[in-house]
Amino acid sequence: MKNKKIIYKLSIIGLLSISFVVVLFLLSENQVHLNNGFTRRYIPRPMTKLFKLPLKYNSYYISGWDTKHFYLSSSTAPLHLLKVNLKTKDTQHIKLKLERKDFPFRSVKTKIIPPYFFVMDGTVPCVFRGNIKTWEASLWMKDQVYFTESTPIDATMLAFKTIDSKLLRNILGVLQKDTTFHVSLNKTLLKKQIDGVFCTSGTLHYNAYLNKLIYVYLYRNQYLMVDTNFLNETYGKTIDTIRKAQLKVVMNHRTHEQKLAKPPIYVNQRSFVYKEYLYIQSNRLGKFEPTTMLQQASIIDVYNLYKNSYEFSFYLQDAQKKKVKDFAINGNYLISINGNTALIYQLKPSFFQKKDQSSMPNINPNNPILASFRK
Amino acid sequence: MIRSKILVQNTIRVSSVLYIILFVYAAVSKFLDFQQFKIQLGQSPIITAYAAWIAWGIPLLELVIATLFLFQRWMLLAFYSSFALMTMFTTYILIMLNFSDYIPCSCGGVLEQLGWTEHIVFNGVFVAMAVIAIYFLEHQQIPNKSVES
Repeated sequence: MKNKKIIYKLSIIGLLSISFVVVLFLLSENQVHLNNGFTRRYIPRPMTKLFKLPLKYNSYYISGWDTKHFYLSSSTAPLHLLKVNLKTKDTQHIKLKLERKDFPFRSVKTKIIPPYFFVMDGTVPCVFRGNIKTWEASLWMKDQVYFTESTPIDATMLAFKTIDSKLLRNILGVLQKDTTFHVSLNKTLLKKQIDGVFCTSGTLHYNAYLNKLIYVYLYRNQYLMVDTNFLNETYGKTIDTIRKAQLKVVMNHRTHEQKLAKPPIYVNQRSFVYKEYLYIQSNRLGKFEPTTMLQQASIIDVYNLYKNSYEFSFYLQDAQKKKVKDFAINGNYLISINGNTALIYQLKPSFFQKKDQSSMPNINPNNPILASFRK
Repeated sequence: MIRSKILVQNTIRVSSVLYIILFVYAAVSKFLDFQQFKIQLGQSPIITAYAAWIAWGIPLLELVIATLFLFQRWMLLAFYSSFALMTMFTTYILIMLNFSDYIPCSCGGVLEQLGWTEHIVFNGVFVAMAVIAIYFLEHQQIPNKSVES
């Protein structure tokens, strides 16, 4: 009798405790994945899977392409490079040779832009440049500028993002090297909304096709397109409805660090530019979208940078329950990295290669690449 | 019979002392680095909205329960509430591990060094201790005055 009563009591208390936490969780899940006030256009079957490549490490990211291959670099083994042949699926391990290795490297990033490759660390700061024939890099820059993100423009120019120590804000810059170094900084393009650092966070891209720098804000529905001399800026709007970054920034007085006091809402979580298109990975649901899709895929929104317009969206599937960690597009290929797997897709040209040349308002007519393209 | 009674008393005593140590330690370490604790709680995907309340509530609750353990007449209540609290913590961890996009940790002090499996085992042991103690206490018809805390 007594035992029954105890078991009864304990199970009631146990169930109540469990359901209390579960209800809290469901309430907050609802807040996060609420359907928002925008509508997406999905295209059916925009691509077909070509093959799957198991990776030894989950730290790989896509560092570049040439016509027949793509390259993966590892954030934990920066001198290691994996070269994958798109046709034969052959993989080749490459060891990069740097002129000097005695720097306090902390955040090394590799980028391959044939015939060059770049190894950059903005915390040292240093940039190495080398040729992809020999995979040997010499020191290209040391101690000129600190940066938090960087992308090579060509063999002599590097665009970067850094934090202005006086303004305490993210700013953009371009470093040019001829016989000496020229640094140009722009302190006005990135617009402060809350604290200046978190609220202006974003991803910096260089688009060779348009010869433009493109900056996609992480926490607001905006991107910025500007020439490499910081002239002719245009602002684009993504379909999301968050205009102002939804962040709560607090100061930890013990460590004097600014931190986010609650999880931020990522509007443009990850982005990629290729030709006239901007690809944005978003985990925010629009109107009439099934919540369950987010458990098996990520949403990619496609924008046209000429027209400054939203084109369509498609799903990028998870692999082995792992979300897309990095993705890139080149020609008709799309690569996504999910945990320990790389997935290689073939895109349907009908969706991704509509060369709508009738309206190109944002193009720099002096750009040689484009000039030749138009002929 | 007498021997088993001693065993029962010792089990209850050891469990209550362990619980007092756990709760006082956890509460104090949270209060010592309160700012950090509050930020970590806020980053949790479950309780963001109530972070400020919970940041005060949890360590206070832990201290209250620890105090309850000191009094013989509140002992049973203390074990029941510990059982509830530990169940909630464990549920929280399980949800974080299985359903959340990322995993923050905000247990105080050295407990933060525990891996997630160790954490669940650790919590499981404490839950089991509470259940056993509750079983023994419920079976004691009259509270035994000889137990000092």
